[in-house]
Amino acid sequence: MNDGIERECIQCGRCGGVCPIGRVRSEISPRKTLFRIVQDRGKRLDRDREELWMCVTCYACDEICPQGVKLVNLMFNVRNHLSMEKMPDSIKEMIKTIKEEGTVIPCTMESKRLRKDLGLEELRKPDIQKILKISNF
Amino acid sequence: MEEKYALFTGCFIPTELPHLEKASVETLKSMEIKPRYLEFSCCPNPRVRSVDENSWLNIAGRNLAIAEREGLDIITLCSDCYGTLKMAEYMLKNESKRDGVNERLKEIDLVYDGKIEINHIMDFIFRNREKIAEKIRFPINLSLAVHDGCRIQRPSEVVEYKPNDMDDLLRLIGCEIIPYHFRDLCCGSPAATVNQAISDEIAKLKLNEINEIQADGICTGCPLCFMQYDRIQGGNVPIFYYPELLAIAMGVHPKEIGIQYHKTNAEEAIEKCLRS
Repeated sequence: MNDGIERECIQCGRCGGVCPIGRVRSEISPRKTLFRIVQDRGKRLDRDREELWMCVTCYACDEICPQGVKLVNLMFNVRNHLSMEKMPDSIKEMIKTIKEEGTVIPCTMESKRLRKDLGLEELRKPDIQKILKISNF
Repeated sequence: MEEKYALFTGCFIPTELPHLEKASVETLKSMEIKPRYLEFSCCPNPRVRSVDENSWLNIAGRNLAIAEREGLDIITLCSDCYGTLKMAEYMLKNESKRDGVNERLKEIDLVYDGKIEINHIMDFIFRNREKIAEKIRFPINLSLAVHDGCRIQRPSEVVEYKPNDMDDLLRLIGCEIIPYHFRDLCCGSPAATVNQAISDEIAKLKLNEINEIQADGICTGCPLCFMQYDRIQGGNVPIFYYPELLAIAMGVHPKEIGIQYHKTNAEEAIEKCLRS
């Protein structure tokens, strides 16, 4: 779960400076969040859950890190350690919709009508069974 | 009409913003391209990677394999989809990762060999800009703030798009670019997963600055950023998805590509610049 952050990070704080969340909540930075999680070996992931999910995975921190630490990969990696019931509700809902529809937003009657008005092709639903077969959800 | 491209519309555009799909299809038509629609699923969304990276990669691999089976290169309209598919392509250059995904794809009679190209529509337009320049009939006389968006430009070792590409493309159709401090700031929309207030605050930070510099509007190549700025409470700066402006510049009537469906009025700005 480490991806080199403990070994490589020199605590320069540049990642916090470019983080969009840090722009509006100065106490939050990718470095602080990930360091805390890595140092206690993810034991208190529950406490860090909201902060962990605030990351928009924009890769601004990765691009600026002078040490080449892959902070976003680490963020994905840590989130993968949370069990499904610990995921935010909006994520649970999104996975449910993918399992049912193959997309994250089902086509409503209104969007069907709008597509027709604009002369766009009718949407085809992908074969859900095949998607389920290759996923672990 | 060339038919060697598959259109990867993603989930948001076809259902929430079909007018952006129409603008893209019309743009491609003007470039003599008729893209095909295949049985793609969600790309999947980068948040799916947060839940289970292997499933995310397998489903992305399925999408790539479907296009490859048809011998078609992909044009994506959404930067999230572009980010996912380019990242999957990048990860699947690793032989053992690709073998692992192909092991699962075999169960549904597919295989991915990495033989196709994945283009964001912005990349595609950029590459064909010289041909496009000859087709501009109605220059768009607007002063715009550029919002590139995150997924289209990062990680830079994975994607093709470069931040200045949009500037060149806007100048090509007659727009002026207004520089501003927060250009590189995320639109904030993914933060709404856990905190709507933070998502709105980030969006407003940029919108406030754009109000101050008195731009006629914002231009982006990402539907999610588009949706964020178009629908935010109290927003009064029109936002454009680049293919909309290009289609209009090439002679498509603004109403035909649904400019009237924007939540923040964009019709007035377009009408004004077409009259002048």
